[in-house]
Amino acid sequence: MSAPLFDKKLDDAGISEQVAHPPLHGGFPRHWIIGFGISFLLLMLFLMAVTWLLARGVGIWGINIPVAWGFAIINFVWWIGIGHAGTFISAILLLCQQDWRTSINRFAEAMTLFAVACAGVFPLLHLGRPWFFYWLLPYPSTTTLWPQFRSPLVWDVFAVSTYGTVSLLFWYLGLLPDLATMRDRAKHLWAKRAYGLAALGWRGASSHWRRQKAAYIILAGLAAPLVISVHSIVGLDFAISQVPGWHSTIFPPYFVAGAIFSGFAMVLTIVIPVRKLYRLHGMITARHLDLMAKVMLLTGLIVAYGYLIEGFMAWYSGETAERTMMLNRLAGAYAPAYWALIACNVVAAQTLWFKAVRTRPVVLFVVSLFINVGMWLERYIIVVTSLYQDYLPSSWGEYHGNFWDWATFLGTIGLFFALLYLFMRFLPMISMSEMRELVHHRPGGKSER
Amino acid sequence: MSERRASSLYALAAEFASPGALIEGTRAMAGLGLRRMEAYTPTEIEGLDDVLPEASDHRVGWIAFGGGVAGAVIGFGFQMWVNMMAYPMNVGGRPFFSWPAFLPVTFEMAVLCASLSAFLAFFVLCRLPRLNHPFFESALAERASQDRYILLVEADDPRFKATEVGDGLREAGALSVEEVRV
Repeated sequence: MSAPLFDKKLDDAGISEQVAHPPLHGGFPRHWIIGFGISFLLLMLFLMAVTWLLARGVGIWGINIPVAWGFAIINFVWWIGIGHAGTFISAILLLCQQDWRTSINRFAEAMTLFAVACAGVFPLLHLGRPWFFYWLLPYPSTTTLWPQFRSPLVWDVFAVSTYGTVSLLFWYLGLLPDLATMRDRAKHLWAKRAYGLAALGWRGASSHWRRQKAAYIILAGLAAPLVISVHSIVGLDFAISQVPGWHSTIFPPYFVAGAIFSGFAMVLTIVIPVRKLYRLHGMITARHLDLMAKVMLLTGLIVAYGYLIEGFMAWYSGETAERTMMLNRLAGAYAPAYWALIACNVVAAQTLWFKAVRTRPVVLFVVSLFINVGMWLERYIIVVTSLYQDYLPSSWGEYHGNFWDWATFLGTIGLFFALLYLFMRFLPMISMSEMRELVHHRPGGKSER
Repeated sequence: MSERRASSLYALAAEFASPGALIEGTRAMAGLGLRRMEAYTPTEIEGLDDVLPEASDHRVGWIAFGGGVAGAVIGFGFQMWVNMMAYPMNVGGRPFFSWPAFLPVTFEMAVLCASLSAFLAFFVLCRLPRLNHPFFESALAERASQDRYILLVEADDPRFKATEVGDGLREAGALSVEEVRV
């Protein structure tokens, strides 16, 4: 018998009390103020970087020919990948009836939303003239020109905007019953009004539940293939071009696995400290950490296989440009970044074979940090090492992120965590209604009387 | 809610401590031949729909399906129209009707429209958002979203007799029974 998914003493009242307490009566604890403060400063850095970008153009970044994609695309792929674990946890594990998703799905979905927000700004900022972003959309214009629907970059517009929208609908639909609980528990008039408005009059009637469940399952069923499609399309952004190292059929599946790998790492990075600070051990148990680590191990192995096949195909293709690119990766100007990536994503991930690592929060936290860094480096390597020396030796050149590149990147980390801190402060971070269901219906919980 | 003028009985609300007790209570009321009732619970209760009269609704699924099909047709048709009629453009000699390249956007449009339809169908079919409802007049309403399982038997049911229903609910194990007036 495996470890329990929740504290056996937990009942309906206990769940409401534990989850609703931080937003309603938790105040602003010191760790919240410090964390939010740092995030907020980074967010200000982001606004400064964006303002300077709008004033001066993308020339403030280190990008140029041949490396025109730089940090903007690296960060876009990194963030959107992180978002995918949220949908994986909330949708795919729901459809597979994996009960252990229940106490982490709200968190993971919030993480998805904020990560997609961070991801979405990068392609827009990279446009050069972001204020013309609507040119990406098909709208009747005076030129009568339409987007090129054969291009993965246009698919991306549709995929990412659909993904953001569906994630928001899914999250809100699941949040609705909990907002009603918050409304009914709130003592302060304005808190009651705010939660009451947000709950949109949810009464918990059986006619509500029936339809909410139906819509929720449908959204989960739609979100599950969406995860695969979104990151496949992101992979195709690269694979359809003929750049050495990008033109490869393994990209879509390998990108999807990498996305889930990095996303689970980010979930762990967030959940491990939060669980300690808010004393949620009764609902986010050691078993959750263990299971998430196992998913990371599996997807990490798929990613490692991807690295192996990339190397093999470069050699097997017999293409000079492909082989040069691969040798450059292994021993060229960016070799330290490549080997750091291997150390983080392949070597560090192997520690997850050991139960001692999977069940020790502190160790697991450190491993998850390594994987976050490793997955960022992976996109860095893919973007930069393929572009900096391609077919035309006359246009070879190097790329390194400068101050504004880093300011924008760190700024989105600030945006992400600032949103996350606001979420933790004002919304229930665990789905109370689903926890109640879990406690009532599963062995080990309080059975029906 | 005291001192309301001309307040009338809307329903009797019974409070149960557990999902099992609620189901028993509902079964007892259905046994009396009552049909106009609604349960208010903090979570979805498995098996409740089997005992609640007139508790079946598959419309959300069909509406989502319709939305998805419409999205796919619109998405694919629009790309066909753009590439074949509105602005045919020869890109590297590829056919104007290069349908495999249209599939990703078609899929995304289908998912988007199906999701929006499911989401909106939920709200429209539940008549939400609605911030006022007679149920909110009940003192039990606040705990229905937390740890109590409430059954509301509406007074306009033709078979409704206040004393009979009240006794029946208490007999079935209700912690308390109260009148909901509007």
